[in-house]
Amino acid sequence: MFLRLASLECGDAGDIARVATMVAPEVIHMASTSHVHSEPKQPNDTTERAEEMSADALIADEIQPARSTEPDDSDRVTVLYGYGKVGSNTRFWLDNTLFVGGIAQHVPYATARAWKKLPIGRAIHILPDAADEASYAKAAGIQPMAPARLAAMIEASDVDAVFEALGPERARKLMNAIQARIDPRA
Amino acid sequence: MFVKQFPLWEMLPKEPANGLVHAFDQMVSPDPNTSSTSNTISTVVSDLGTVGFTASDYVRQTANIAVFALGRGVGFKELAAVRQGGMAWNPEKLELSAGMIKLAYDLQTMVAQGNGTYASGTGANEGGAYNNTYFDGLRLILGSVAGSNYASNNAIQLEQGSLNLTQTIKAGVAKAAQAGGLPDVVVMSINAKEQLDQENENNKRYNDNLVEVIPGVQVNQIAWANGILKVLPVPGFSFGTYTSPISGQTVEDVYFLQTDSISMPWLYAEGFTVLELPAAVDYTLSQRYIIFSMSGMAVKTPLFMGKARRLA
Repeated sequence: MFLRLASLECGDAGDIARVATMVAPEVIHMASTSHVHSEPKQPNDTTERAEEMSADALIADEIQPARSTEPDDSDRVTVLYGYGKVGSNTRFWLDNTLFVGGIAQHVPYATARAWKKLPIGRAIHILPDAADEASYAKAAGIQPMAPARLAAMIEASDVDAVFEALGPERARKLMNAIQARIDPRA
Repeated sequence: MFVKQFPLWEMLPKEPANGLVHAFDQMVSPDPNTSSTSNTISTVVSDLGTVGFTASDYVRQTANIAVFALGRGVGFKELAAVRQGGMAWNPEKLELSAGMIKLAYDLQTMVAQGNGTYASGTGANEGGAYNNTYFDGLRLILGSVAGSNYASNNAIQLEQGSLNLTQTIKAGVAKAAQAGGLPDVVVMSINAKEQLDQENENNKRYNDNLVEVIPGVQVNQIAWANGILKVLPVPGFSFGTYTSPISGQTVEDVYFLQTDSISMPWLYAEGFTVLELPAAVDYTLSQRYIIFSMSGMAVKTPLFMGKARRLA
């Protein structure tokens, strides 16, 4: 299939990969909040298990200071500052730390935590150093596109390109999450 | 008073413009083989070896020559009343000097935040309020604003975080120097200068080591990693504030400049010209003047300069 990317303002395979990477968690998130459960969770509920697995496995959670998951001061983290607001190649510094596209990696956690306490702290997002672009998008609250448009985009996309962008492991997790919704008994 | 009020405009070198707009080459990279992340030596050749030719990367820019003009005058009745009343002041002179202050203020404000090319700019964002009769100012040029003519000019942008203002300025200047520049002046609002003074209250070298940048204006200096930086405060609201494109906070710029690669191209005359109109030319009993200046601004090596955004 040939990609209809002009309407998405994407220019090349790299962009396709990025879009695919960014939108995948949205699919999962949307699906996982599409209905409300009033009863306690059943361990054998296949659908819920799939939802939990997909949501947890694909997206790294933002680090909140003073929580049990808080890293040590010397640990390195990824910091988002202006992610989604500045161009992907935009370079700027916060103090002495270089941000490219609003992302700084390998930042000492103590430094990131100090930034979080500043007036600009609301715009600072701290993530594990190994977090990926999908996690960045979630932390920064980016809604890549409307679900209907996303579905159309996936239909029109080259499956090979989407698979390449996701990688086998994430593609399998996505497939399992969708499969669980298609056939809950599986 | 005049130079103390408008030191930024006074200090910048002037040059004759080369047309209705001033065309110039803006360097964005000094050499294709220059990189701050490698130490590759690429210019050594063997005896009788072939010399490689390279060129800097330039972007052709045009600086609009903005026309600043203002009319001032005094009625004959007032002129006569002052003279015959025995008062020792000259109302024409007073009006002319007030007019020049307004023009110089506008010029200096345009140097800081003018925007004549970026139509999406507003007073509240980094582009600055757009008017195609303006010339582009430091906020836009050194902001490398996305979508503008300067998006890829490699100027340094630095946000103040945990560092104080002194450290932030030093950090920014060091990054410009790492790119090959040698900034010599940092310009900021009076509020920013006050913050800087407070940080350096106990720094004898900062407080005692003043230098005259233009006749009548002595300024403090900051030692940085590779030299001394003159600190030039700019009174008034020339710099303005805007919403940071990164944090969404209201910020104010502090610019570090390499003044030997900035100029203010002019047409007609370098400074202000005063035209005396024939009295009562339009059947009005008054003596009137037009004060005007035609100037632009050319930032030739933005990669050697930059800005620090501080919370306003």
